[in-house]
Amino acid sequence: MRTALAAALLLLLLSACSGNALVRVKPYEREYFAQEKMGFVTMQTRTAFEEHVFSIREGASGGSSSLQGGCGCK
Amino acid sequence: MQIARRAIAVALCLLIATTAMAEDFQQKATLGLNAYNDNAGAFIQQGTASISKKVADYLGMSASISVDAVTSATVAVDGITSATRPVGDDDDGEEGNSTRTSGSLSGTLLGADNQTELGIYTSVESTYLGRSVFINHTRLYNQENTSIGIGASQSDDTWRNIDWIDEEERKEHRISLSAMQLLSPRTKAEISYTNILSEGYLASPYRSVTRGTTELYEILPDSKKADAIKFAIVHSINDATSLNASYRYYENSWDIVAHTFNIEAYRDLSPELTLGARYRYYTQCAAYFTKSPDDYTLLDEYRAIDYTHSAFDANTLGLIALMRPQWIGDDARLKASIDYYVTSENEHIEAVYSESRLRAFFSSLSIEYLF
Repeated sequence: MRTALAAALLLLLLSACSGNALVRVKPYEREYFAQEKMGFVTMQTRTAFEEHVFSIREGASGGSSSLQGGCGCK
Repeated sequence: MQIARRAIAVALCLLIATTAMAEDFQQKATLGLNAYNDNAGAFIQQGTASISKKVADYLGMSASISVDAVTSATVAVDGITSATRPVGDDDDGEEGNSTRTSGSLSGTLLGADNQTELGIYTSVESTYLGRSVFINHTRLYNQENTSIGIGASQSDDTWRNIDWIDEEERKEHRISLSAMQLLSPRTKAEISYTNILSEGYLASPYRSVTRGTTELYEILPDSKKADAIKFAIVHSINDATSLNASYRYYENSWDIVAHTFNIEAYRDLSPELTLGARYRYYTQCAAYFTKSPDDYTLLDEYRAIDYTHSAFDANTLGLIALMRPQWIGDDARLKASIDYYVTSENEHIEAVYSESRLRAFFSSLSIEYLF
């Protein structure tokens, strides 16, 4: 049920994305986003390793964009 | 059956075709060294290598490999690789060593309208075999102001070569949805949702407490459903400074609810060096079947020995350096980080590790070459 709701939310979001309704930054205004420190992930090696550390040492997981399993992580 | 239904739902979403601009496929090679050690005696060193390269106008390939060397001071500790209890010379608590090798291979279709990645991942330890397939699809909208992503992975893992249990399987199915939006020339935000279904043998065969001469092993439910939603925002305060903050809410069918707060600040000290600092706070409540380790008996339906099923907090402090030294070339980056992790006092940690709380350091060093 949750998956179906999430898929429906995604479709709704997709439909709302049409027509340039969310164009807030012009191409020539994007200079700051090119900086490394402006990324959601600034060091991929560290992020991948610490996600594994936290998934083993804590009860929670998920919420990131990487999707790989098979490590025995909880 | 549940997993089959979920797979069909994901496939239907992926088949929906809308016009969008292609996302750039970043070509790069990375070498990394990671290390972890804690006061429970576990010490892990990990070497990693990865490469992403366009092999045709419409196709990019990525591959990665990691090797973990695990050393543990006590038989009771399993390394950060989670599965394998370090194998010692005997069962009297002597120091043990083990290795884990993992790798992934993926291909990315770089169509004019979309980008789709399909890959496989495997992890091999002496007593644990992990395998998964994953697929990710992203699209850009609104002159690259908005991106929508959907992904799914299916894991099929096996516990093996353990004397006191038969070969056991563990399956996990994940679906992830994400959306990113540029809010202003200096700010962007992202929301991610993950749904996880785990089935099979979800306990650890190395977790137990002793009652007299009886060893009470961990027993957990054979199914767990979880949801996680994360909000993240990055803001450029000025030309030299940026702030990154995120919050994640997690809950599962075992009644564990967790909150994770993370904040990072970065400052350019020179054209060649950016320094960052981070603070992370994590808190969770206990699973409905968790009791004090001293209260478990042979009659309990479930026995949650591992502290990760109990209530606890954890704090993480870290430093990160992003370096662009001239000697390394314009297309290369050198990055280093170190973090200190400490949990609250916890009786389950005391029962398993003979420590009142867990303290750990983990560090990373990597060199990236962009081409």
